[in-house]
Amino acid sequence: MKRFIKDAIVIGAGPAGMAAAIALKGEGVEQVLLIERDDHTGGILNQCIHDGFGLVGMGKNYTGPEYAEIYFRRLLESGAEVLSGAMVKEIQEDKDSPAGELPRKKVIVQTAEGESTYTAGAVILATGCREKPRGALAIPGSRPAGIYTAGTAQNFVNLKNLLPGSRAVILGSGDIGLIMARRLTLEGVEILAVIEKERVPGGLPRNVSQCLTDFGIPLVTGATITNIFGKSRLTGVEVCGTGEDGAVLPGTSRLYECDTLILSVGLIPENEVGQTAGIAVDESTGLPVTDDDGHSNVEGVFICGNALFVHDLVDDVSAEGEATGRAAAAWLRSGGASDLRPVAAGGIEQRKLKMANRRKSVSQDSIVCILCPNSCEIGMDLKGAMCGRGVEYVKREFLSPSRTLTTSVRVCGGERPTASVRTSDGIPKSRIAEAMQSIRSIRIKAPVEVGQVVTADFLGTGVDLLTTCNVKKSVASE
Amino acid sequence: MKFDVVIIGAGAVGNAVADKLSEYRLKIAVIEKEADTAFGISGRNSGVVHAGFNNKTGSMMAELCVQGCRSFAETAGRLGIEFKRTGKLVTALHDEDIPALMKLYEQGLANGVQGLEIIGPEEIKKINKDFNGVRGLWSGMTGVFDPFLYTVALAEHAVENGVRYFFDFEAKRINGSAGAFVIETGDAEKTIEARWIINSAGLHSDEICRLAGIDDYVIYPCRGEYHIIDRKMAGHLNVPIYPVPSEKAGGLGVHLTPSLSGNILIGPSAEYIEEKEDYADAAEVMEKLFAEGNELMPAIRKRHVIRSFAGVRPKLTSKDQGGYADFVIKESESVPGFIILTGIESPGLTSSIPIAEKVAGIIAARENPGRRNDYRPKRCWTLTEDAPPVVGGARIACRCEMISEAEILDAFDRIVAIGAIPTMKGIKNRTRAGMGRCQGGFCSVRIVELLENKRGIDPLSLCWNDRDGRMFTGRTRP
Repeated sequence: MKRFIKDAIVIGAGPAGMAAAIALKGEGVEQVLLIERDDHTGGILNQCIHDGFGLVGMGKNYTGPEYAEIYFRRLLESGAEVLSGAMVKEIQEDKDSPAGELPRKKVIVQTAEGESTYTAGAVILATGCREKPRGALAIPGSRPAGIYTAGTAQNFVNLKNLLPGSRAVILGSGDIGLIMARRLTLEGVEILAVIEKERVPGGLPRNVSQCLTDFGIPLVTGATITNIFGKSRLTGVEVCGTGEDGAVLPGTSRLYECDTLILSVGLIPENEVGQTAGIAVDESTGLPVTDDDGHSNVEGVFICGNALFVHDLVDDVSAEGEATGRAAAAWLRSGGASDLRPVAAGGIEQRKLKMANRRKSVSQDSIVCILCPNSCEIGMDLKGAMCGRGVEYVKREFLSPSRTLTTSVRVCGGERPTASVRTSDGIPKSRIAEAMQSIRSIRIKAPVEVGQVVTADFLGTGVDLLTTCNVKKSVASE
Repeated sequence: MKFDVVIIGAGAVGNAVADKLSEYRLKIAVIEKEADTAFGISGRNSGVVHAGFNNKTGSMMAELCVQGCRSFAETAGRLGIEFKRTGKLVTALHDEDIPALMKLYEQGLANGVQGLEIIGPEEIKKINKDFNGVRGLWSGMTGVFDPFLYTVALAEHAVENGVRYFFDFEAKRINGSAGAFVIETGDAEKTIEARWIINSAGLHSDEICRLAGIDDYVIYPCRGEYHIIDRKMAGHLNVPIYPVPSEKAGGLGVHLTPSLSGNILIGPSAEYIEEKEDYADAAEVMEKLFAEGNELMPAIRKRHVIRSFAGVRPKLTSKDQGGYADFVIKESESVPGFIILTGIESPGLTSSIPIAEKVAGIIAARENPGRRNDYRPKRCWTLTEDAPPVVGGARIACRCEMISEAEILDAFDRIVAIGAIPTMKGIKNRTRAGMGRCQGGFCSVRIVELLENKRGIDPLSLCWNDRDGRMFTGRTRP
């Protein structure tokens, strides 16, 4: 087995890992290795082709792939080394650490070439989170084709050019569920309802507004799926109302005939790799235990991003990755001074805050500003906006509502079948259907680069249609 | 097409019969209505090799189970699959269970079961500190295996020895008589002629009998539901643990089984149902199963459940009769040449090889087919170029179970090699990709991509569970 020696290793090249690796380099750590299991950096951002990223951290509204590209460029400039297509199997204490030096961690990696070992003084886990599958939900019924978690469906639709179904019900009104409701609607899938067991939607009000309200998609709160039907392919789901305690209310059963069920019912921080290193996970919350710097109970092992707890905004993930990178660098500089502060399961306070914040419903005669995650609720009297943009938004929403459209176009000869695109600014809301119709027949040639103009003055709106990702030429077409 | 022997049903018993008969100079076919082998009850059970103390002394069940258990290690070696003689504990939780436990012990001794021992509470704790019980029956011969791989290996070995398989091939009519049967499927292209018919159609064996004019049997489907527990709990369970079964139940009671893969199975329930292939989970049963599993092992939490599934027992006893009828293994008196295998419920898997030997005996008593001199007693893995399957050393497709892309492609090739129709379930059964805690959220995308790029499979044709359960309904862009 091949062996390589590094100063710091970051596992996972999503937003947290990229920010951490850049920060480590920025702090003067020499040998920084970022390990990614996919072929590309960016993590889940690559499939999040919608906008809303960077509003807090960069003051601009980017799509997921654009945001990932910005960090990828910073990563290249930083000089951190990237190992992609590599799966970390295990992290161990390195028994061969030289005496008197920092005890090193041994990271065992599987790539197409086989197994290799990398050692480093500090390891940052930025392994993200995974979706709760159907099996973890205890929904009775059959197990046919047509049941997808929202993220998996998003990957198939946005990156693989595949449609999971034609009539769908979405369980869970978290942001991913809401985003997928809009995304699938744009692609011609009929969304019968978004079902939420709580009394209020789980996602940001701005997403309820721009993803459901805009398209007239019903949101059914205080309800859950109680049965699943269909032998080969899904034929329907039963939805029942639930009481305050979550118990199913008798006599509230309703059948939705659909061929697809999208599950957006929660994300679980992924710490299985971390646990091979011995990191402690809190029994009650399932979250890893760290100090304020993300330093775990295992000295030299840090955790950041959604592996620590599930964040609402990528901007917060990037900031946390950067802070953790700096903390790990400081720890390395100090020669591993053991100043572990009291530790607690990550993000519990943030979670409580999040829950408190979401206990607000939006009144009928006000408008939710969709320009940033603050989701200001602005009344007809133009009160309630935290900034001037909100007032402008409401005025425009009355006079000529417009939306930024994010979707994808067909790519010929590329390593991927589609490239994500966006309008450079809002287009009239009333023309979105027409725009999608036109986009369906567009074909562009690989290679594609971020920011390429696909169609100037798209549909005479004065707004351009731009690509938001890179697509290389396929090997076969070269 | 003309064959000497046609076996109806590619479950473990049908495959074992095919495998056994392939030693002789006979032209053998197996027909199966599903897309692949092990898609019925052979793939939906606890995966336990039973010792044979649960069955009535003098019954065929007892005799064949004891035989099958004794020779299972040799069978596993011949087929190249894993088998672990874990031993098993039947525990009397309360004093009133002791008489039934002792009766089980006596019955086991009378059946010739080796390795039985009655133990006290301290010895129970010695086996596993989490176990409870006032008295226990320890069975040293019991073990666990992978029922998918067993059933698949039998089919592969049979094919290596010249047996032909026909999938998506449902017998709808049986014409003719001994020595000249004609099996029709409703499709003129798919008609098959046979001198012998072996009915190993499991849940549908009564219907197949009726096609041949034999009205003597009725199968009462009795569903058994299970929960699968995350591998992270593997350390808690070293041996299968069972309650003392009640005689009326017609099942062994809800038990815990440590599978070879490190998961724990809770189940099965026992519910008589209307429809034979109703593999759905029922809400109240799911709750009850969990509670009973939790009683046997208090460390198990609901969040440890990663999936639920169900199998259906093909019982010859109705709900009112309860208990067990014996296996039926015989040539029909009214239709010579038609061999009936019905009521093959638990311990059918354990008994599958001895059942096959009995069938071979029936045929050999009537004609002397003679042994083939090119018969290969061991599975030689010759079905694909990469034999035996590559493990590791390549890019990982399924991160939960660490299954490489090479293993996925090998499984696909093996499905094709036996004439089965590739499905995601077939790949999952052979590799475990998608059986882990994320339930395919990550690897399903990789597998779809891999099959398209490396085997030219159009994703739109890909099926989930069976040949009708398409995964996708179209493309987002033409």
